[in-house]
Amino acid sequence: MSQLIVLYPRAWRARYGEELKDIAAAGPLGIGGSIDLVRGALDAHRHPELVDPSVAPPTGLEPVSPQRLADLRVARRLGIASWLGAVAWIFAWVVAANGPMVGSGVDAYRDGAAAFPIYFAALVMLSAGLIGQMIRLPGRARAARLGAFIGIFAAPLWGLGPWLLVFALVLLLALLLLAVGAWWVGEWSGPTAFTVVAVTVIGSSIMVSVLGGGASRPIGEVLMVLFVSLLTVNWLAIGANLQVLPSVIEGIAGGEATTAETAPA
Amino acid sequence: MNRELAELGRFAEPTLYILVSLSGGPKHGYAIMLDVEAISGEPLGPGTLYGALARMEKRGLIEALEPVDRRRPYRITGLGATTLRTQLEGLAGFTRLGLDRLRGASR
Repeated sequence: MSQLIVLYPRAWRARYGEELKDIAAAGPLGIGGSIDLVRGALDAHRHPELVDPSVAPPTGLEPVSPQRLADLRVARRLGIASWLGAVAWIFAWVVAANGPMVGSGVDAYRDGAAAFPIYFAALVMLSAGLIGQMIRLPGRARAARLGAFIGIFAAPLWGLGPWLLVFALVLLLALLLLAVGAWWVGEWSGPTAFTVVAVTVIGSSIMVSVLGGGASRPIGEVLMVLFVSLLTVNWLAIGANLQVLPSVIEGIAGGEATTAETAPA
Repeated sequence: MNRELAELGRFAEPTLYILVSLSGGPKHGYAIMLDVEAISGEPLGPGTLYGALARMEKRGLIEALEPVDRRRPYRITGLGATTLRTQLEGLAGFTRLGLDRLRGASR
């Protein structure tokens, strides 16, 4: 039952989390109790005003060492690389869509070879963002870390050629694992995780339908634009999550600092 | 039901039970759960308990005391006691009225 407590908002967990854990430790609550807890979490998200922020401790984060802060700053830079990857990803598809026509008649096709280096760079930069996630995610986020780890390798492998769809599939599954796993342990917000899952699932469906040849040429082109646009959100979401850095709000004592999560400086 | 409790929607009934429980002295969350189950005969889920406690704290019906280990006791406030008394007196009047009418009907 204690795992369900992560469904509550951070401020709520800071205020009532220990008490709920105490109840969880007292004995199993069964299905009814678990459903009641999920219902309570939904209510807590609908009524955040019920918890006074001044009563709650400043953060639900654990104290971090100066070394950890330095690592998180590195992760933040990798997040910026992920954002640049989003730009490269769109640019690559624009270059590919405007390549010179080769051949004639029904055999004519557009040569998008000039886009390959940009396309590869975009996926390497996504990989950089995933390395940032590996740095940021705590050890308890095992599923999310596994997703990031797989994605780190799958992204550049798909970057070797857009037709290498087995790597695309592995990458998209890894992103789903990362999003759900990070949300499950409270490291990603619900909206961020939901957005990544939604764009990845819809983007994958579009990719399959286009490759399956079920769409006519103009519709296929529209679907490709949609596919590229949707997947861009993954670069942005992964980068954005890394920009939130802890900042020291109390003096460092015994090598540890109490922290609060804030917007980027 | 008085307005203070009626505004709590689905938390109105658990709030009444929690006020009755705390009128016997301060208790922490788990002790309230057990006491409410003994009073009402129905288990009180943790989500409902803390949803109600948060609302009651916000309205000043109860106050949190310093935690002992991980357990934080809650105490009924003056406003909480007044609200509970008003509610119980209203229910007592309602009960008397109903019983009187039943007696009249059975004659």
